[in-house]
Amino acid sequence: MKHNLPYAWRVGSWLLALLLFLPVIALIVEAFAPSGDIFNHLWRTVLGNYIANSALLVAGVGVLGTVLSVPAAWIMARTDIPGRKVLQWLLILPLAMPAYVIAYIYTDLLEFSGPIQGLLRHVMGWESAADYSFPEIRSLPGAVIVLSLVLYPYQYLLVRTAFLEQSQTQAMASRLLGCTPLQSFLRVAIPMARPAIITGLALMGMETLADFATVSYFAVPTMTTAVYDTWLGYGSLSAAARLSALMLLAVVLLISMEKYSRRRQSLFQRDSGYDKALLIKLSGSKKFLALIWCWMLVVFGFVLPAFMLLKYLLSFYKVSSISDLLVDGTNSLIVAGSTALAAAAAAILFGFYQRFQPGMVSRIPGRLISTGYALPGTVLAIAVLIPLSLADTGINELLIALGQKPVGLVFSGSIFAVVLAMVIRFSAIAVGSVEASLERISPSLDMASRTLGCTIPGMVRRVHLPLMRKGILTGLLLVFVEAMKELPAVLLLRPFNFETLATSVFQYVSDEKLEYAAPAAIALVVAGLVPLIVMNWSMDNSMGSNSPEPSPQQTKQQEAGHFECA
Amino acid sequence: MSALDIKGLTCSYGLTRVISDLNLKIANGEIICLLGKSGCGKSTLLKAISGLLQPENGSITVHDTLVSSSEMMVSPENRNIGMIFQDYALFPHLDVFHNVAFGLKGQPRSDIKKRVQEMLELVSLEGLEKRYPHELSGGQQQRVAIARSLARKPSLLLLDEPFSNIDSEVRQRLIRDIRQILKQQHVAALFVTHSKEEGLDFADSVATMEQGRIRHVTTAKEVSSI
Repeated sequence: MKHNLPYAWRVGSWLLALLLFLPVIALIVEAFAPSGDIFNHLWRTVLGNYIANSALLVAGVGVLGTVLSVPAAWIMARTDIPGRKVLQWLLILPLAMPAYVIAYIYTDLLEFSGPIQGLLRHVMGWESAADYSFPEIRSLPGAVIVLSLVLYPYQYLLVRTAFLEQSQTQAMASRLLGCTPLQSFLRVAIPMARPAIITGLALMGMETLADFATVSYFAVPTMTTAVYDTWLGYGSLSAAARLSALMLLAVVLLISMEKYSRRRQSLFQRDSGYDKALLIKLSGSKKFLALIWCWMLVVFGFVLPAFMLLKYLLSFYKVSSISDLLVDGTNSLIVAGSTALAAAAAAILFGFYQRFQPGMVSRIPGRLISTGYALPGTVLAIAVLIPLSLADTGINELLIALGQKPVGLVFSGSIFAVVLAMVIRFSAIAVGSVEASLERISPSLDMASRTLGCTIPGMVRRVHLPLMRKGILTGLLLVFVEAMKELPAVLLLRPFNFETLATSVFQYVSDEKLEYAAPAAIALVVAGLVPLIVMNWSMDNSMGSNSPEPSPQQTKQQEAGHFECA
Repeated sequence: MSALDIKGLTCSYGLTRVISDLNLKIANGEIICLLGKSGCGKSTLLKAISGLLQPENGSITVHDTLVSSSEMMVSPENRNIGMIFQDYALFPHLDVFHNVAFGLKGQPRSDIKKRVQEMLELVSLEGLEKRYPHELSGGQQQRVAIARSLARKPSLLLLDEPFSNIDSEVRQRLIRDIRQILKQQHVAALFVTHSKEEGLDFADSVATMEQGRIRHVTTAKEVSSI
């Protein structure tokens, strides 16, 4: 049903969308501007190495993450493994662990002075490092392992869903046509799950490409660290913009891969009932292997690091500064809270525009800002800096021309920049959540309220907003949590001496004393658990009942899929 | 010798007993229809026969080979039982040729090709080898499913509501064609449906199933006179 939406609403939607998209355009323009010698210097010397490292990292995490997650997904979807209900949930917990925290903990455990090597020396009677060789965790392969441990759940969730959606009769048919369970897995389940696997690869690739903290801590130079160094080290915005544009290219490549794989997905999905009695009965060594495989992921991805964090907390709580924690925590709350409110407001604006003026045109604002989700934090930070520093220069020059005192960097040097970047990055989550809850409101309710004498704003206030409450709250919550955890964009954009929980934890990691920041790290992990709990709740709903709650359902897709981007 | 001999079969889902003390015999080359309302245990029975479900009690013998008893259970891939599903269960990632060839492993390629051609001729789908399942009509998909099952020369064919997704105009012909194929190949079949008309058209005898037991077995002619 088409309504005459107030003119301001339409213009507002478009202006806001363009404002939020402006940085990306600015980045591309800036990348083509002459950049002086720095980019050329980088190009001639180290850039090849950085690109190679980034590519190897993405490929490595893709392979290892898939090898770890696909068997686990199949075991969860198709077998009667003991504790299945709990395990399928535990397997997504590593998503809550910041990769750099895990990186620190495994370095602590595996380095020369750590307990593992100490024990080996003790048992084997070795005296010094010259007596034996032990793989160095602070290396590219180490980064691949650490990132795979926290990113595999993306692939696991997508592929598990694909396996669950595959009609069980196809698996039955393959058995009756002579396949053993393993052959059925290789010849039927895997090829049919291929679109999900490719989507998972693209997601893990995007997250890996965006990672700054782990590679920085492991001293593996990549494109992300190059952007960071070029800006903070050399102060060259244009060289940083060029590097960012290169990364953007890689992201576009990954997204196209994902789109391409989804093109054929509809052919592969045919849902039929899910019959628990048809789960493969595991016994003996197979059951043992399956249990080891799944529990290994849970233990190394979550339980052991969480245990170590608690251990740090108990041994070092006296020296951890509670006042710092409070200040940083408050900063995090302010930044994440403003981001969540702004993102939700934008989502509501776009959502109603789309509902009341259905058509191609009104879809664009929401789609446009959803692309932000695909941008790595560092790239986004550089993109935001370009228009904001222009605006700052403009304002100050104007004030001087008018004979006033310049106000300094009001945009680019304040938390405005941080919040803007994060709104761009995380609006997609709110947009998805709000859209889903709007879609559930039947158009006949619109007609009913209009014929009962409601104006559009009155209808929105009295009918839509109350019905959308759950979707809006879910969106708020998820954006809030993502913004709490965001690191690279904050590192690049924060005002002087401004620390959030994430930057503070990363600072302690870099200074080799995470032990002192255990409370903040635990707070981050706990915050990261929130979306997983929401997701799990939605998964239970979508499995059992006939009327799943679409808003958390959408959430699941958002969280596991980042689908709505682009 | 009978194609299928079930004695005292009992199956449960958790605490609910779905099949209790069921006995059924199918002679060589005979087509039996199992008629019953949904939820009477028809599909469960097919799963137990094919080995996808472990029965609680009773024995199942296929062509004089014991495949399931309270002590042992032959896994589905080793029973040589074919099954046709309501949703056809074709593999969406494989074309018609490879769907039909799916169960023909470990044979020389030329033999596989020959067998697939024979089967496609049998179900009158020659020339559609390269099509994917989603490019076929419902009736064509069901023919591919038949070809795929018969390619392995099963000792028994199970059909689970195979015509329920097919348009009524095509259904009559498909039922006649498939019956003819089964008779020509001399394959015994157990056909499950809730439609009396389909059962009468397709089967030699009709067994009525109620609350997990067989109530009544009659020849098709007798039923139609009721």
